Amino acid sequence: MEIRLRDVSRRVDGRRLLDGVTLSLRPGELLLLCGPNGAGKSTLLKVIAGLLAPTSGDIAYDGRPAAKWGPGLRRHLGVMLHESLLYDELTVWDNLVFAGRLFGVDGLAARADALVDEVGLRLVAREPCGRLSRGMKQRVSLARALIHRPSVLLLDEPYSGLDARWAGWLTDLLARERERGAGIVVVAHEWRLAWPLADRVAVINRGRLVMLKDAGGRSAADFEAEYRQLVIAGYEEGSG
Amino acid sequence: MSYGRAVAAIIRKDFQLEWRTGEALLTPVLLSLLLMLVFVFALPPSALRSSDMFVAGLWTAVFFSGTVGLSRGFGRERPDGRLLGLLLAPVDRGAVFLAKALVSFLFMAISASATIPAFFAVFGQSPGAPVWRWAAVVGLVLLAYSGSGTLLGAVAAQLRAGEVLYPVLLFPLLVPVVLAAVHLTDALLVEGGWGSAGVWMNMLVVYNILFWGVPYLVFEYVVEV
Repeated sequence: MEIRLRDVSRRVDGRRLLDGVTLSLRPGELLLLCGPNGAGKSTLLKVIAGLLAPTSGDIAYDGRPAAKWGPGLRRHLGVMLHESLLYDELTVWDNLVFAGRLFGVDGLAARADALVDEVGLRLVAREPCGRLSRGMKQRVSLARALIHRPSVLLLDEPYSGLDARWAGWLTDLLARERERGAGIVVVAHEWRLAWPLADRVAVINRGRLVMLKDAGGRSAADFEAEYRQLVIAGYEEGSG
Repeated sequence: MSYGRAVAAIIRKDFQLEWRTGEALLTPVLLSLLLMLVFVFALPPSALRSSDMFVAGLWTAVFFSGTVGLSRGFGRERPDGRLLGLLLAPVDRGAVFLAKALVSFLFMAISASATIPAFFAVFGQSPGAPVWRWAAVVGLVLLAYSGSGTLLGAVAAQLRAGEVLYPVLLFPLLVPVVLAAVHLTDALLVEGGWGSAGVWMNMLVVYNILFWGVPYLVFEYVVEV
């Protein structure tokens, strides 16, 4: 599924959380979205996911606005937010099965079973999520986002809480999802981890898209220098 | 089909959560029984046997204990962005309201079926009317309570002091339901039917149409974050 945002803004109580953002996401593409705290990255992700309405601008999913799609649009989106979306009182298994039921997944038991293995939580599958470590819960959240085999993945800080081994595993998983043809947006402070996979990189600051470039062929160090400059410039502009 | 499956999934999940926590079912039953005990200790034995006291005690217990369960309906969707997880489901968002309101109704109905017989026994009253008439009155009252309570629960879940404000916002909205409940119960005990209180039955039906229909249609806007 291709997603196109044109001049998307969101204002709340006179504050501009997003300001004229124009970008696109193609199938099989990984877009890395960076920016300082409070820049508007999570807001942008929620707007794309249909959880927040833009106050102006258009979003088209495969050329059709969200209103024309109806609720069925959400079947194409796999969303992992900063919040876990999990019920601490329910087991890993129950959380996945519940999400699968909401999405009407066929062959749910087999799918949940496969995901439990994929995220390496077989031994704690019958444990309540509240007893898991931060990193384990993060993996359950990811499995929840994947349960219905979405064609677009919107991931907010997916590396957060993962140790080096599982961070490497996540990068491999994202590579496989991209090969499958899924369009992926990754919001990450630990952007270096996703850098080898990124097709394009976007920087957002104070609600505005201040950079959107191909990542291919560029080194992480080059990007970091440019990123720092953009963010510092944004701060100076804001304070001046 | 997927709409029905999503509604069923949310109901099933809430029963699973209830099984593990006992917050929305067990606590209201205990609170109802405790309120009944307060009436027993506070009233002289002669007053305890009057039908007026029975009606007042019964509905005080049902309405006050009901807020505990109702506030948990959306309250338990607050942590960890769980409500957002429900809103991501590929079904009309009215399905979330419908499922949560049905769960509230079922919890209150189970709770009432445990406490109402206890009230009859302790206040020494006989039903006076066939069970189906009692079921119709109690069912309509609890439907009205769960419809409006779920709507306000969704609003309160968006507010910082939502759980504190919840009963304060809810009870003014419930005044017509309380009046209907009292008049109809009185008629059941005295007349064995709702004959003279028939207008309250009609009012309850209209209230239910309003407080299940309107929230269902506007729920998407109520929960927009």
